[in-house]
Amino acid sequence: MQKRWSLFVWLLASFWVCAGVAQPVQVTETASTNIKIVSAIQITVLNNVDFGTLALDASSVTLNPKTGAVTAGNGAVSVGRVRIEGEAAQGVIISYQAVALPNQTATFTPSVIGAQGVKGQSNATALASGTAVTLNRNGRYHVWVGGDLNVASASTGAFSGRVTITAAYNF
Amino acid sequence: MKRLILTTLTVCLLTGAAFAQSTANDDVTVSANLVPAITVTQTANLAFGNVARGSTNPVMSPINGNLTAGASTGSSTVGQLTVTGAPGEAVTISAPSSLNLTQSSGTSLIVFTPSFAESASASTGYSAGSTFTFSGSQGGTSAATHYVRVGGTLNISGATASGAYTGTLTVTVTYDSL
Repeated sequence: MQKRWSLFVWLLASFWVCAGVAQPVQVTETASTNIKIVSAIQITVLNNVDFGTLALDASSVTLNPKTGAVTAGNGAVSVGRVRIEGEAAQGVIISYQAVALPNQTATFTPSVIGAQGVKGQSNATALASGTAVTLNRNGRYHVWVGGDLNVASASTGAFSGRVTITAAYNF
Repeated sequence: MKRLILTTLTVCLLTGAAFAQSTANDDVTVSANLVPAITVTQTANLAFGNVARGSTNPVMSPINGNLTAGASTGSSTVGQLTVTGAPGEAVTISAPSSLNLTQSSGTSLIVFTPSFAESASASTGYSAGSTFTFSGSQGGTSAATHYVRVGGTLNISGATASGAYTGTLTVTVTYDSL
């Protein structure tokens, strides 16, 4: 009798031990991710800024990016033009910075405007650096660059400057 | 004790453009050709000398500085300006069409009508006119030099009082295309 009882206890204990050290229950879940593939953003400079020939008898000369009009000089000017391409209707942030090259005695301050349409120059919107815009249904946005050239302390000779324009998706 | 095991879904795209470029930049260059401003320097004043009242008004030629009409004694000199500016650029000389010469005391005045001549040389080759083009090629950045002479006519009447008369003529030289 005692042996059977012991056996029972032993079996019961074994069961408890086994139950206490139960195998972990695996639960699997899936995490879904959404990925949208978009076109790589591209920026193309189509035209550079040129103030033409300027006499050093004005302290500052302005090139209007909307009209191409210049306040002094021989008028042989060109407005800078940039095309941004990417995913249709995608938001983009445009930022820019004038770079002062060495040994230049004049200083340039850019005036930048933009529009969705390539023919929108005359009504384009003024863009401060860091402005968010939207690419058109063809994935394009157009930017024009004019600005002010301060020649108050300038010497004669060729002036060279640069404006770095950056376009970044605004996801 | 249950352990929850999450399986994560890892997606790896092995395409030609696996990670689309999300930023791009480029440079717009800015250029200008800066040429000299115009400078005008007076190197001789215009003097008619001693002029007698007569029937002919004195006229000084800006081309050679000689009195071509009227009578004068004493020294007379043609007005002289040295002008510098951008090579190859055309300019126009402008001044009031007439100037009243006055006495230091008294109300009598003489009307002076200026005329101009220009030359690339200081002493010779003057041509009558109020326009000229600096020598050299357009776009050059070293200043070119040109010379302007000022002559003109004095309108003296029989009622013009005797005495010394003076006046200041402001001559302006302006680029036509800059």
